[in-house]
Amino acid sequence: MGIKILLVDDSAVMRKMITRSLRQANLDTDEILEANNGQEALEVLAAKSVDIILCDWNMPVMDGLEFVTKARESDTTPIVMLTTEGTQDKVTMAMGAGANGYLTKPFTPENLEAAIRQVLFADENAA
Amino acid sequence: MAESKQSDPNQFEPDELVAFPDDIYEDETLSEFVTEARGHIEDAEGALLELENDPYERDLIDRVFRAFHTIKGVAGFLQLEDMVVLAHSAEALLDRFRQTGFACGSEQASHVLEACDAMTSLIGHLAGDPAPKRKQLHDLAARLARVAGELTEDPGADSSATGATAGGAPASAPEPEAEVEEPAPREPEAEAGPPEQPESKPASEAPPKRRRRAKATGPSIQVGTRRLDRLVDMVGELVIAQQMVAQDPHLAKLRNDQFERKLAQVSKITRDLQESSMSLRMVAMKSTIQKMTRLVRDVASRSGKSVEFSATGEDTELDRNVVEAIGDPLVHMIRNSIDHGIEPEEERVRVGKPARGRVELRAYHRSGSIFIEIRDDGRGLKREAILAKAISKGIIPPDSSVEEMADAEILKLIFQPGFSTASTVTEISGRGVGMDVVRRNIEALRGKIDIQSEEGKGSVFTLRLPLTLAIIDGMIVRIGETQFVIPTLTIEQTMRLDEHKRHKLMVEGEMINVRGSLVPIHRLTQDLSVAPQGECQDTTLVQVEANDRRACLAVDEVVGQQQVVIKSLGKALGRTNGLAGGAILGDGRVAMILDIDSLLTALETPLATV
Repeated sequence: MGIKILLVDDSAVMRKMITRSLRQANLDTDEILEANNGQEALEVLAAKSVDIILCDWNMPVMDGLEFVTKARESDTTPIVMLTTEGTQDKVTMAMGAGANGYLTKPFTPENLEAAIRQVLFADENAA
Repeated sequence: MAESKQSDPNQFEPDELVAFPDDIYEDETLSEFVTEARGHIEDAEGALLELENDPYERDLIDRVFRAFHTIKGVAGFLQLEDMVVLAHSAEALLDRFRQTGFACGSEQASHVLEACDAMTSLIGHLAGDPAPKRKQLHDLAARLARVAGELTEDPGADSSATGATAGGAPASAPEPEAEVEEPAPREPEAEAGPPEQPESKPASEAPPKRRRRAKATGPSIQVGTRRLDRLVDMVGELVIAQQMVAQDPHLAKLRNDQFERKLAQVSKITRDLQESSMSLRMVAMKSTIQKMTRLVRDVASRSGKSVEFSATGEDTELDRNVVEAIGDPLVHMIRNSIDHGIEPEEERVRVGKPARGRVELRAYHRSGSIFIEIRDDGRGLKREAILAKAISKGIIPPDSSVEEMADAEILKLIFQPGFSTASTVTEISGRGVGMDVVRRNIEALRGKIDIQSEEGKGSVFTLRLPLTLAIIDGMIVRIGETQFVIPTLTIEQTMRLDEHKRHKLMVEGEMINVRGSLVPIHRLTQDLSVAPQGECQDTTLVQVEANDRRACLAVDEVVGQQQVVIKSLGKALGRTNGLAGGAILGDGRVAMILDIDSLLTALETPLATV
């Protein structure tokens, strides 16, 4: 059974890039869902369950931090924050709010795979 | 944090061009990125211009930040290094505003606008435009970093430097602390300090917080315009085919109720389909207006004039193809208004006007057309100056009886080829295009341009454009046994042919006296290569006007008015003089749409005035 992934990013091109990285990575992906922002991501989560969420920081309507905070009220799906360089201070905030890992853009498919494996693995351990 | 991406601009040769990796052009996401990035930059520009009125508005700074941030992210994946450097430096500067609470006043906004321009040229290069110079980009990036670095003193010192609206900036800057927090309403349990923002902004200087929320439009997808155009064309064909079925005489003989009902149903659906497919191509004026806002700013600052620009009608929608085509004429008209209309500050003050000039753009719908008005409160057009110029340029003969010319006629002289009111050709409006080109462009869109001007008070240029290029409002006339469509916009009046008023002149042909002026009468039977069949009884005259020429067309009957879908005549006929295209009428018959301008040219009509 492959991994179900929810991708949250306001840029359609970015989602495509990440999807491509996911396909290139050595991961058995089953389904990749997409959301434009935190608000949409919450709606997706309310309807479907996924194995892991990859979430951008800076988005209109509901940004990454708010999303993590809201999602954690009812959901324990692992979340990997996709940051860009220069926002490390925010990583701390996101982790504090309940994110499970982060990855700095741009990343290689290998990095992406490693980050996902690490988080999923950590999750299994915790469970 | 900013330093890591900063490079030394001096490592580049002055002429070195930006070179993106070769394989980028094969990347299938590239065109999407170009579209998306352009959208981001447009949005950023809009927000920057709004910031000038509202330099503390956090939402606006966030919007600009996000634009560069997103571009940087994708550019990183695509390994577009120069783009990353530029986006990063802009983003870092914007982040400084957020962190320090400094006003992003017009001076600072200028730097970021420059970054927008540079980014636009980089994006353009991805889309096949010439490469920008590398050093310039990196110089700009370095400058942005420097500006960001300067934002460290307390905001009190800043207000003098920017000249922004920060009237009584607080000496005890409480603002920065409050502003370091993330924006937007946040859950308090997010462990960080209590973001309660007590009196972080003194009431005197804090602009009222306006919460603009974009209209909820639901999710959207991007579709290539070519596919869209094709769809609209196909629907046009469908409408015609449907009408042909509806009017088929054999089917009409059936007199079958059920069939009629079904046919009515099909007609209704076809009409709805046509309407909604047309609406797909409609776009709001917003981005055009935004570009004009930017233009006013640039032109005003370059010409050293202070100009306030206001625009209404952002939501006015018109055909995308029209929007694209009016860009240049609008640019030219606005440059014109600022360059020639708005007086220098001293002069304005001397004549008792506000020092700041005003240029206003209004876009609105009225009776099936789009109107765009450009209004300035400048010096207006001088009757004598125009006449003198027109005579010196040989546009009108020196012995013209100018006293008899109506003001409107005189004003229209500025649209004549070779006329340009600029006494000094400035860098800004001296682009070699005159108002004649503007008019030609507008008329090519089947639009009209009008001027009203009052000396000393200002001028108003009014463009009237069709909502769409695919449909035309036409008057259907019958000449002999043939029907023609005359575009309604060109028609001045229709009248019964009154024998008493008709003058037969040996040399100039037939004329008719219309309220004191002689207007030539033309018969398509004689004059047009695509002549109608049958004899014309010429009982009715349709007076038309195009490009300042007037003429009456003799017809047998005005059959009615109708919107028709324009069909191109196809390659076989090509551009036939006098014809704008074909249309299929309600009864399934084909009618030619007359192109009055080229028709009159073909007929070599002498100027019908005087």
